[in-house]
Amino acid sequence: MSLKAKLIILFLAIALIPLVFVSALTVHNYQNSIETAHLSDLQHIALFKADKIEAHFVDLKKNLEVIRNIYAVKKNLPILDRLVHDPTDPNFVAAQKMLNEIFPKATNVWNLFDIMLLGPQGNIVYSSKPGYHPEVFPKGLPARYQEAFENGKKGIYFSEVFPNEKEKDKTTILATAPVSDLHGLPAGVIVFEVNMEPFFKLIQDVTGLGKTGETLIGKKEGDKVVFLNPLRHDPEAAFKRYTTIGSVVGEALQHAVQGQNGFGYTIDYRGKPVVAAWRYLPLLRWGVVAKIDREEAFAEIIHLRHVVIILIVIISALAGITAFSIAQSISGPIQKLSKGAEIIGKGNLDYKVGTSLKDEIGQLSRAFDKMTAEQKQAQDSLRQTSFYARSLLEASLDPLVTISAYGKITDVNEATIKATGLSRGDLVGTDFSDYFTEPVKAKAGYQEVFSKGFVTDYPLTIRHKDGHSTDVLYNASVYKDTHGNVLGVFAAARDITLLKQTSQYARSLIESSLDPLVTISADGKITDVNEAAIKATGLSRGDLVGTDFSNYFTKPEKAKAGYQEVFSKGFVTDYPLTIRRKDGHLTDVLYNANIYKDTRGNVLGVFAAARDVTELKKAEAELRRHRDSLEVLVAERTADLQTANQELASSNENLEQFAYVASHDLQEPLRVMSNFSQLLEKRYKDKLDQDANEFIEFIVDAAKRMQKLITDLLAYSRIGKKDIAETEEDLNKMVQKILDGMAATLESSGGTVTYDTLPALRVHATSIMQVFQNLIGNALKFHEKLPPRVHISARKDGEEWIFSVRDNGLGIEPQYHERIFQIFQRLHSKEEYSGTGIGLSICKKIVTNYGGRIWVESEHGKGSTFYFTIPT
Amino acid sequence: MNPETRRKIAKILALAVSLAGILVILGWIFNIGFLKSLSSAWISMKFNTAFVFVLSGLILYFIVQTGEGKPDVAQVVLPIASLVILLLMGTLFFGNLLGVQTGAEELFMRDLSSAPTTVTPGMPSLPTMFNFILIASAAILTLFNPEKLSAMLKNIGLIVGWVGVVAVLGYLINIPLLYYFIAGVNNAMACHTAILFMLLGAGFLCL
Repeated sequence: MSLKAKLIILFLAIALIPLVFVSALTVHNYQNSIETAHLSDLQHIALFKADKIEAHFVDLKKNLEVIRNIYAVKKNLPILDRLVHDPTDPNFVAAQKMLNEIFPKATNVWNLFDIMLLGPQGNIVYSSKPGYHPEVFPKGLPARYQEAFENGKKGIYFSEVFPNEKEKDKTTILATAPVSDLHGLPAGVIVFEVNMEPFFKLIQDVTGLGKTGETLIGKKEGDKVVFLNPLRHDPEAAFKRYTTIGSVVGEALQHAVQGQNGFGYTIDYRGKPVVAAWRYLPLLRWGVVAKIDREEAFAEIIHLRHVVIILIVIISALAGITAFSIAQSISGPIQKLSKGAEIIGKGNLDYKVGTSLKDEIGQLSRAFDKMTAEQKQAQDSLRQTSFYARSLLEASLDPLVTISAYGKITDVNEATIKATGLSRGDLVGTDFSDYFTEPVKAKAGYQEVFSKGFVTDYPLTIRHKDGHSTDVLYNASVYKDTHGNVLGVFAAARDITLLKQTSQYARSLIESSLDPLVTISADGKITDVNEAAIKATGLSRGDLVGTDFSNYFTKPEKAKAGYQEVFSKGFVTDYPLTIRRKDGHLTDVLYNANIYKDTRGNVLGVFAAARDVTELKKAEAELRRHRDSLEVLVAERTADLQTANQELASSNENLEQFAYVASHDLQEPLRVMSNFSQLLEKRYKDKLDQDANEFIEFIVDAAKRMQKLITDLLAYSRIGKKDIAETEEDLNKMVQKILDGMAATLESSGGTVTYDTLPALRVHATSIMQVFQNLIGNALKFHEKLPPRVHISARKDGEEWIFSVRDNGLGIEPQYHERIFQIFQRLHSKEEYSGTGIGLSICKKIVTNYGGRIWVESEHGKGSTFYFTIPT
Repeated sequence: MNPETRRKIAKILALAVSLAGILVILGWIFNIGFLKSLSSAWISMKFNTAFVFVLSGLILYFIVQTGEGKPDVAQVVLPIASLVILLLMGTLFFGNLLGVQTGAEELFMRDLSSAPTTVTPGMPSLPTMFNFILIASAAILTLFNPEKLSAMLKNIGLIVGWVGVVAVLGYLINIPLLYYFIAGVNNAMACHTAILFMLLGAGFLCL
């Protein structure tokens, strides 16, 4: 209901309800007053008329009483009765004359049609109107007269009213009384034939009864009531109109003739509502009713009612106009405000509802405009936030979805559309659970979110329109409005298909292991086992998972200490334990265990692998047995070997001695041969023939090479002599000294040698110098067109120094990388590159004697790098 | 009992009272004795009383509606109903106190009953009129401040209900004074008037 309608109704109600109430009360009271007055009048009239009627008949009765007792009647009635058949008899005539002097006068005075005297037999012996009755009653007295006569013999009697026999338009009653003679003996009956006209005139007098009022009388005849007098609205009613007792019509008269007195509202003989008062006349057994039409009786009230109604209508109209005006003036601005709010509610925030009114509504409208402006600003801000949020949603590669409190999808991102194969329009408004292979589980999931506030890693499988499915883990939480009311659920799905495959792969790896594998949580509880572990313990996976790891070993404390060690150290290796199977069987194992972590480095638990070493232990025992027997054998053989070694050492020493002596002793004759062959060449070259020159040249050359060979061999054999002391040497100086010695070679070859800062070491200077010299010399020697470039460097690696000599020379093919360190091995002919093939062997022997290693990294045509190490 | 159930009960009681009022009005219009008075020996419920019971039922119903946050129609019905009750019962009440017959006693219907506990035909008992004035006041107060009226409405319900209970007790143990009959001074309260007051009181207590 609109405000305006409410105001109009209320204004009208407030104006009209009291008005109507007061008016109704006034009319009602006035009506009561009028009604009381009318009823009172009518009662008085009815009573008055009744009194009049009764008085009339009392008078009549008195008159009858007087007449029947007068002398003339008592004396003459017996005479007249006796001489009735002889009217000429003087006594009859005298009697008649005497009565004629009295009765005609009385007839006129008392409004009687006739006064008759009846003899004891009921025959008419005298009439105040001679000839009247013989004419009327040619056959004697009619029944009504006969009845009156019979009753009149007993006392004064009034008959019913009846139309006059002579004058049919007039009514009459018979009043009869017994007459006795002068001796007191019954002589006959005197009859008054009463003219009722004057009486009815009195009854019909309508003075004080207005235009419709009247008085009526009636009498009961069986179950009917007959109207006795001519009526105001029906002059012919007397003796012709009847009403049946019990009917509504003429109810007042029915009450009256039945002996009741009263007043009230009834329906009259015409069927019209009247106000009436009624009385019963016991003397005549008649009813008298005084009545007046209600319409006339209450004409003033009806008039007043009309006036009141007209006034109410006029006041209603005026009140309506006023109410409408006031309602309009109050509700108009509110309606405008409401309409404006509706327009603004539809999104038009630019609409202004402000008015210039100074009242509260005006203030409200201006405040509303201000609020709208602020809301617009807030909406813009919200829109931006919304766009930002939308962008965030869409930027996610994971399917994201928002769900209402009823489980209906309210929004999705592009990833969800791809995952389901359905459009946003198809998805929004439908049930979230419809798009999973297990809708019941999905429903339980979001119901859990509503009850707990969130779920994490809730596994579900999204079903794509084309039938394929995607395994996901849902993380979801409720989102709320500013009042904390839950609006729905925000759910993000992570595609774990790959993770699942990986997991399955990992699972199959774990299950494929024949060793018992187990993962343990940080508090020592088993979180997973493989089939081998199930076999080893004789328990199911369900029995094992969640129980303490240490429960399944013969020494639980040791097992506990084992995994605690893993947590503290990060791992254990070959940790011996014995698994006790459910049936009591024991399995010796060696545990290797590591902690495993999440991506942020948090320790999640321990991964432990047990190696069944039962067989190994058996083998060890067997081995121990063999070892014991072997030790005996070895002791025997060792003794033999020691003997052989002693012999060998002696032999080696002899051999070295021999080599040294041989080379030393060979040097002397060779030096002679060389010197003299050079002398021969110097003196006789070009003095002999050409062949002699060549032969001399061959001899000189061979002698030099032999000398070189012997020198090298001598050097080689001297390596490892313990009698040479080690000194602290600066290798930088040593290398520089070598290079100084090779200045000529460098100059002739155009080569350069560079070196990094080298360390100072405690070494045998000559031997290390020889190693550098040989390696630098080889680097300068084995090259082709490019001028040789050699670089020496050193670095410390743990307990040893690694030296390298890198060149840009010929390079060495990989198959020769080992061979070149063997004595007398050459990769080129003497004609191509000179040398004895001992240099690298010397290097190797020197380095090996220091406990170091020597090797080469090279590729043919790309130079070589020789490395050797010297332990510190 | 939760508030929703209580409101439902109050509504049912309100409609029951209005319906009973309508039945008694029909009894007056068609002169059906047992509707006007439960026993021919007892005083009848006056036409005015029946009419105001119809309005009182409506008042209780729309007070509940207001409590449910639906004051739309109530904003019209409550003031009009309370205005009518106050006019009618106020006039009768003060007329009775001052010994003046205002004419409102038989404004709608002439009371021709002749029960011995009738002092003035058509005039409700004084406690009856007092109760109705209280109920009309409750309606007006509801319009002023519907949110903080629960305690006051309950108190009104208690008064209205106890007035009915005492009268019913009077009928049960036949002590005319308990149903407020004081010969020559005050009409008795009709038995079904008392019962309807009990229902109305219970309805207000449910608010």
